Amino acid sequence: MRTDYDVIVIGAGPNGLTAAAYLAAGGKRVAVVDRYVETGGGLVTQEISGFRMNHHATYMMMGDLMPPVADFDLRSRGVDFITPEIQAAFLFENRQSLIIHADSRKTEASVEALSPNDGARFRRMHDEFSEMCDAFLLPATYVPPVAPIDQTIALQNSDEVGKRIASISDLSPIEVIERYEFEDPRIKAAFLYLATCFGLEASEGGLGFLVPIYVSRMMQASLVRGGSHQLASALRRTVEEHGGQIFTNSPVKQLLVEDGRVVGLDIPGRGQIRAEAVLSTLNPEQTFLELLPREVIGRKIEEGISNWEWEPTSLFVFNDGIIGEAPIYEGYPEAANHALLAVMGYEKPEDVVDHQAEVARGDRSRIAGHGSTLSLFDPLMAPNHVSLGGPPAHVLRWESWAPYNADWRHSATADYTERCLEFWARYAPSIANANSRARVTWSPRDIEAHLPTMKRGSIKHGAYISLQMGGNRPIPECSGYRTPIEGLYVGGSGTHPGGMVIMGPGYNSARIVAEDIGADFPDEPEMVVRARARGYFDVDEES
Amino acid sequence: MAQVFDVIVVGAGINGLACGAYLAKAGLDVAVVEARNECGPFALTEEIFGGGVPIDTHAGVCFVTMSPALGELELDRFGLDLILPRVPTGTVSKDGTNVLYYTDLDRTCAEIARFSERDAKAYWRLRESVMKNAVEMLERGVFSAPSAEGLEYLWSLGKLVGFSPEDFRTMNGFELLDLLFENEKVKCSLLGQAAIGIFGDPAEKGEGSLMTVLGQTSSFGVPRGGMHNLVHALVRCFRHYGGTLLLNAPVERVEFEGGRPSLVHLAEHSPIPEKTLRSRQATVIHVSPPVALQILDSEELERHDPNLLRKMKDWDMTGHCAFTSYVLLKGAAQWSSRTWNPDIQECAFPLRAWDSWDHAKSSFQTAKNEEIFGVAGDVGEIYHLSSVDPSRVPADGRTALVYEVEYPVNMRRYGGLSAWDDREITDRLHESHLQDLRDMLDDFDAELIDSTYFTPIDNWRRNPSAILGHELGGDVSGPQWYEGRMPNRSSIEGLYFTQGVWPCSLTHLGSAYVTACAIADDLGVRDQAWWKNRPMQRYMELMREGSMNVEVAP
Repeated sequence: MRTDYDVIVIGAGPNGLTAAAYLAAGGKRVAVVDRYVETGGGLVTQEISGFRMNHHATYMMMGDLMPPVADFDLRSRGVDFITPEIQAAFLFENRQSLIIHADSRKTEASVEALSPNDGARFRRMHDEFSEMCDAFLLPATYVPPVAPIDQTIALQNSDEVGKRIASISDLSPIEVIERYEFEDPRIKAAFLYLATCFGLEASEGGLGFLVPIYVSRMMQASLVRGGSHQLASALRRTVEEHGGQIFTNSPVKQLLVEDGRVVGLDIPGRGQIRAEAVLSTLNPEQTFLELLPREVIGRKIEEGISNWEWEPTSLFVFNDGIIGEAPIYEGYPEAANHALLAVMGYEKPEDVVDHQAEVARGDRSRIAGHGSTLSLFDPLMAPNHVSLGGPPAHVLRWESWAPYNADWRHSATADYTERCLEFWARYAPSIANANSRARVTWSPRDIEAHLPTMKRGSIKHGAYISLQMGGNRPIPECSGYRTPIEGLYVGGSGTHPGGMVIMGPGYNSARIVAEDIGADFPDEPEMVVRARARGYFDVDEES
Repeated sequence: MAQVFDVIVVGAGINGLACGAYLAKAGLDVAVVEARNECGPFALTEEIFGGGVPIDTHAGVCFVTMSPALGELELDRFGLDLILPRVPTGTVSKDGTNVLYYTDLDRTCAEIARFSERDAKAYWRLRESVMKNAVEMLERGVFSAPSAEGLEYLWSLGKLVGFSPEDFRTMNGFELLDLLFENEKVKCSLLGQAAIGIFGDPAEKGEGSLMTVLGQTSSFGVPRGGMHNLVHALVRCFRHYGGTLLLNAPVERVEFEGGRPSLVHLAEHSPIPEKTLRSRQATVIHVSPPVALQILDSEELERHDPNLLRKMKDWDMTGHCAFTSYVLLKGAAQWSSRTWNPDIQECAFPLRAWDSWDHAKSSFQTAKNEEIFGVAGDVGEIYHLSSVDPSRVPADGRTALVYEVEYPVNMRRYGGLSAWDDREITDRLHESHLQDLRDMLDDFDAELIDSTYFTPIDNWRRNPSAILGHELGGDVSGPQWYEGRMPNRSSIEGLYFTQGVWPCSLTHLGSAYVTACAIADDLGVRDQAWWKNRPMQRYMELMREGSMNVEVAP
């Protein structure tokens, strides 16, 4: 068969670029196609009047833990993670606060200051979560999933840590937090928010195993210096340096199928390109229902994918380039002014649960969420080469849950932005006097318009519910990145381990494609080797 | 250990990139370092009104016909697709008339004849004699480093319009136009056209007469999809020839070693791990002279070339600061003057050029008096690019117009520069721009969806080199004119400049070309088959495509 490439990767987001980098470095001829004019997908940084804005992905949970960072020495290609020492400030109405530090001993002191008996509880939670993350949860991100039942059995048959993970897996986020019996409802709310701020549903069962990861990693969150897009730039360069080709402005309309096998794809205006394997990082609905004829995918896949559920909540983000001081949170400790996230509006766990439920049904009347001033941590983000003798320039960034189904037309969105700013200014009055020079909002509709694979503003390509996680993501038949359709692989956020900039789907799917087409692949990360040794992935192949 | 290159270019503006691309193609190991996270800070295409309507927020047209780089770097091969409009430019008056310039000279003259038969004949003679000599004019007068012989040659161009070198050198643009033309609308229009090429100040002796003649050599192309595609093509070309591009790499200082500026130190907050680069042969400064002064060692400059240091310290960046208004319309712009000549609907780059000849004359003085509101809307460039590039029009038919007006920048009457961040003042200026558009377009308010603007200071924020939002790396007049400009090749070994030089850093990529030639000559890599001895070959091809006759001087 004549081929132009060994592998074509659809989508130049974090997972597509990661997969392409591994396969190109593994000696294969690789092409990446993306509909947009730039690479990066959700790693989008735009500069307006000198203010750099991360419109989407911003807080990196995994940072250096992502295998491509070490495997391709991305630091030498200009990727630098900034991990602020003060990670979050939960601001409460009575001007008390909880300060989350990268150093957990300091966080413990802050918890204790707010509620004396909760310090030890935090310590226990922190240590247990860290142990679970280090032993299994982080390594499992970079291992193809096994069927949920098999995974549970493997964990139960392993050591104490494995058993503990198995014991929380069926729980909901709020149930996991409740286990630590914090006395102060504000502390419960804070950790529940860390667990759920990227859209885990607080009351959804079967997601318990994700809580330690989200809470632990959102206490170690980092920024990409120069803007999130820098990570995509480094990956793109890696792909190209290994001979891979990237075609932007190239929307895929359909996959080429011959004798039931995917053999390439058709790009309008560019024609057909053929390859031995096609790896799609688009959402499952696009990959199976839009790019392929029904007769190729068969009834079973069609039914499975037709039941795909999007996330009930999306995000609302605005970046505001201001001439003015960074927010001063009046009446709160100085540390709040230096926190990566200032979280406002959650006084008790019900606030978190109710807010999510309201948003899920299209009600955005409650304002709560978090604000950041990224220029505090990265001078590249604001144009302070210009000084007119007045205050400096900063970039404010707001993020909160938001419903897809709401009026997001121009003026309604502008009004909503004003409401968020007014709310934020209740905590940081200086914001009200800032001179805004450039403001860009990204509503759920904008997310979908810019990143159509995030249908209905679903940032993780589909809901996190147990029927769509691990070995069920997107459907059991395709959860191992291979699909029943020869030549077609899947590897986007709609596969294990899911969304966020963690590179798991791209890394894992590339390994599977490499196996099938005979590409070199680096050794598994050290943490995975250790987890395997502890038996966490020991699955009886026969079962 | 510093990473080592033959040449390091500081600043990835289009001319920095083009200079890097020439030298990389010539076989040198070149790095371009850029403070921002993207290249081409003034060649931007942005969706400032949300999805679907790409807008060139700064430069909007290519001086396509004047660009040797276009042919020598084969930018079309790297994805630059230039549209050559049938009606590249023109002027629009508020009285409902227009003067349009076609690629077809006879057609243009027919339009001018509607105002004055005599002026039509005069324009035909001017254009004919310029076109016969255009290739030599561009090669000797524009795409060459300034020299005493070059200047003598430029003054000799007076003969093209019937004047001795002495007369030509001592008249400004107003006098020249008064002597050649009679109709004031024609004169306003030609003065506006002359100003686009930035060869000097129309009100200055010599500069004004010369720019009026030199300006006749240019025509415009529109990059399909947006001006930023020029940047993409340059980046692709540069990287194709092995160039290294470092973004997010602000240069803190350039250190001299043995009298040569060779160590380029990046700011500590750059994510680039290796913070020092070394250039073996040449360091090219593609930032404005005052910014260059911040990074170059003043003591070394003082020691090697005190005159250069003084020039950089005295460098004036207050004369070409743009305040640009952007409007989003429901559909295609409906020009009121389409009843005069319907072809205005497809004019890519019309100008608004004063209301009368007296107004034009007084306007220059008002600008020199720094009267901001006095010059509001006197003259401005209108980018009407959706009229020739359908790829910029989404399915719902929305289009954008860009209206760029130059202002004196100091704002002393309003308390100084911070006034540019005062919405009360800037909203008023923007409103005056909207009024201009309202005067030139039908149903403007009914068609208007949204509007916004960038002030000179906003432009400075986006382009650290563009102090006060200056578009050109410094004024182009008086002590900063021709031989008074920054040297392409400095007297300091290994130190070259591509900003503040002659010609200006514009989309013809002329400053890149002249400096790249100098470096290539110095390093012995100029003699390459693709690097034409006659840089204007592509110009001749394009002028022929546009059916303008160009003759090669013997």
